[in-house]
Amino acid sequence: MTKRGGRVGLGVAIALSIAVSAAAQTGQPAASVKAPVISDTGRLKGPRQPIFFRHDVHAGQDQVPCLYCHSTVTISSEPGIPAVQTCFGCHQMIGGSTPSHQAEIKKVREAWVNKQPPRWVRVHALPGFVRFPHMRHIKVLGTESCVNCHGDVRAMPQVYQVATLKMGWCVNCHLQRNVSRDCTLCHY
Amino acid sequence: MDRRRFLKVLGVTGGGAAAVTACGIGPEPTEQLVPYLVPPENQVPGIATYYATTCRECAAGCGQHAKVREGRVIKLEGNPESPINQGRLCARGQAALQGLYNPDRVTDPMARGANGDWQKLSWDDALARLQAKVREARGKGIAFVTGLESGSFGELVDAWTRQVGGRHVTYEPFAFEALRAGNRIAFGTSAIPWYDFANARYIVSFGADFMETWLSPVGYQNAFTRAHAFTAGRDASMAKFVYVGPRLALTGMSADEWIAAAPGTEGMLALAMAQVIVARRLAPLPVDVARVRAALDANAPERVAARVGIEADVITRLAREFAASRGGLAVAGGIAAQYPNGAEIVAAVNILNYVAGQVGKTVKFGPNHALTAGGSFQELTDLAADASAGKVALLLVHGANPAHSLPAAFSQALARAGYKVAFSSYLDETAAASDLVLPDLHPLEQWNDSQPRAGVYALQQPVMQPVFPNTLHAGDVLLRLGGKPGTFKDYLQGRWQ
Repeated sequence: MTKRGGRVGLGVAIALSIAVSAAAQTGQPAASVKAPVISDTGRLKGPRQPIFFRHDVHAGQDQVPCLYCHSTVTISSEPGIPAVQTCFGCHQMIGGSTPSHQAEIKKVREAWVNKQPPRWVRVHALPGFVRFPHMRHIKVLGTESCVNCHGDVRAMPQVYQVATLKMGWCVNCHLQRNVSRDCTLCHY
Repeated sequence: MDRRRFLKVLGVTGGGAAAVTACGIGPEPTEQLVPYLVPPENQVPGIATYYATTCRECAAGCGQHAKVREGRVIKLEGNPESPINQGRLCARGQAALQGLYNPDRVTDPMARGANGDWQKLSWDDALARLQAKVREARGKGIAFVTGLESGSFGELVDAWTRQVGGRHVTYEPFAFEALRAGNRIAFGTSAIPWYDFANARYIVSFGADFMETWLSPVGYQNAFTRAHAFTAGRDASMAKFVYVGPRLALTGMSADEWIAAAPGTEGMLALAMAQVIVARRLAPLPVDVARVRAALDANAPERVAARVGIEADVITRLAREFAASRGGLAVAGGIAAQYPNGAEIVAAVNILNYVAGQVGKTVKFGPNHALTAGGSFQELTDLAADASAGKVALLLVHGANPAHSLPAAFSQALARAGYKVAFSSYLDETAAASDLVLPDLHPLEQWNDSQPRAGVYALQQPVMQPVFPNTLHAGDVLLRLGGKPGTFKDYLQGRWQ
C-alpha cells in the first residue's frame, strides 16, 4: 500500500466511525442511515467474499433484523447462515438499483439457479476446543447485543473481525458481569 | 526496496510465522461457510436431531437412535424402547458409521469392460443391461443370494424371483446351522428359541460365546448382566455361570467356573449331567424321559469322565447345582457347534434343558429368533453344484459376501455362473468377481423392515441423505426391473397398510 492510499483508507475509516457514533448516539439505527456508495472495494477491511454482500445495506439502511437471516441464534449454539433460498426469497423481486448492486444480485440468482451456494469466507472463528453457545449469550444480553462481539455490522460494507475473540477478551467480559469463569464452561 | 531491507523483512515475518505455527497457536486456517441451498426441515444448525432405526450389522436387529447434526449422522446408540437391546448397542453396531462413511464405497453402477476394468455406467444403462440379462437367463437358471432378510425386502426378492422363475437363497455366515439341526434332532423343530438369560438362576454355556457374538449378543449380554449381578431387593440374586469350552475367551472369562472339557466332548458332558439329574431324580422329570434313558445311561459321568477330561465328581456337582437352581439354562454354540458332531452336541444340551424341566421356562419356543428362517448350507451346496453344471445363467448377490466367507470350492463354483451381479456398497471379494455392481444404499440411508424375533417388528428409516448420491436402494432396482410403479418406500408402506 502506498502512503497516499493509507491516508485515504484512514479517511474512510474515520468517516465510518463518525457515522457509527452518530447512530449509537440516537440509540437506534436511524431511518436516515444511508449506506455509502462504494466504488473501491479493495480498500475495505475484512476478507473479500464471493458475493459482495453488504451488511450495511441490509441490516443498516434497510433495517433487516439480524435474526431474519441468523435465525437460530436464540435457540442454538450456532447462529446459522441464511440458505440461498432465504436470499432468493427477496431477490426474486429485488434486482438492485445500481449496476454494481445488480451485478452482485445476479450472482445470488445464479447461485440459486445453478444450485451452487456461495462459499463464504469465515470471519469469526473459534478454535475447536472452545464452545461458544450463542443462545445463552443472546438470552442474557438480548437480540440487539450482537454488536458487543461482532462490532456494528450495520455499518460494515464488508464484515471484518472487531474483537480479538481470544480467551482474555472473553474472560474480561465474564469478569465485568461477574459470571462463571470455570474452565469447563467453554472447554469441554 | 533494497536487498538488505528485503532480507530483514523476510527474516522477521518468516521467523515470526514459524514461531507461531510451531507453538500451534497460530490463526486457524481460513474456513469456508457453505450455506444450504434449501434448509432441511426440522434441522437447526448446532442442535442434533435424533432418528430411530434398526441396526443391520447382524441378524439380531437391535433398535438404534441415530444422532444427526447438520444432516450428517455422527453417533449411534441403542434405542431404550427396543425389546431386543433395551438401549444398548454393541461395538459392531456403533461402528456402522464407519461403513456408512467408508471412502471406498462404490459410488456409481459399474460394469466390467472388455479388458476386465471397471467402467462407470448411468443407472438407466445399468438397469437396461440387467433387464436384457434377465430376459436372456429366463428358464436357464436365475439365483438371488441375499443375507437374512426377514421383512419387506426379502418378500420383494421372493416375489421377483417367482416372477422370473428363479430361486431365492438366504445366506448368513453366522447362520447357526448346527443350532437348528440340533433342535431338529431333539425337538423336531428347526426353530431357534429365545433364551431367557435374565430369569436364569444357573447358566451353563457349552461353547456359546454370547458375550462375543451369538444370536442376539446385546440382548443376551444385557439379560445375563441382570441375572449375574447382585441387585439389592431381589430375593435371589447372582446366578452362577459355568463356561464349558477348550478356550478361555471373553465369554469364558466372564464365567464363575471354567470347565475345560476336551474339544468335541461337550455333548457327552451335557448328557452326563442329564444322566445325573434323571438317575437321582433331582428335578420333576418329564413323563417321556424313558425315551432318552438309554442314551443317558451310556453317558453316565463315570463312563465319560476320562474322555471329557473332567472328573465324575465335578460333573455330578454341576448337575446337582444345575437342577437345584430351579432355573437352569444350558446353551450351546460357538466352537461347540463347529465340530463335525456340532448338531449332536446341541441336541445333547437340549436334552439337558429338557430333563431339568427348563424348556418353556428359560428356553422359550415361540418368540423365535429371525435366523429360524435362515437358509441352509444344503441350498448353497445345491446352488454351487448347479452353477458348476452351468445351470445358473444369472446370479445376483445382495448383503452377503460368499466369495469371502465360503470355502474356495463354493466361490469357484459360483464364479461359473453366466452373469454375476452384486448389489454391494463395497468392492468386496464377491463384487470384485462380478460383471455388474449396482451400489446399494447403506442400511442407515434406506427404508426397510425386519422381524428380529417372532412378535417383534423393526422398522428402518433413512437417517440422512445418501453419502454418495448416485447409489440406489436394491429394492428400487428390483421394482424397476419388475416394471412395478413406485419406490421401495411405497412398497414397504403398502405392506404395512
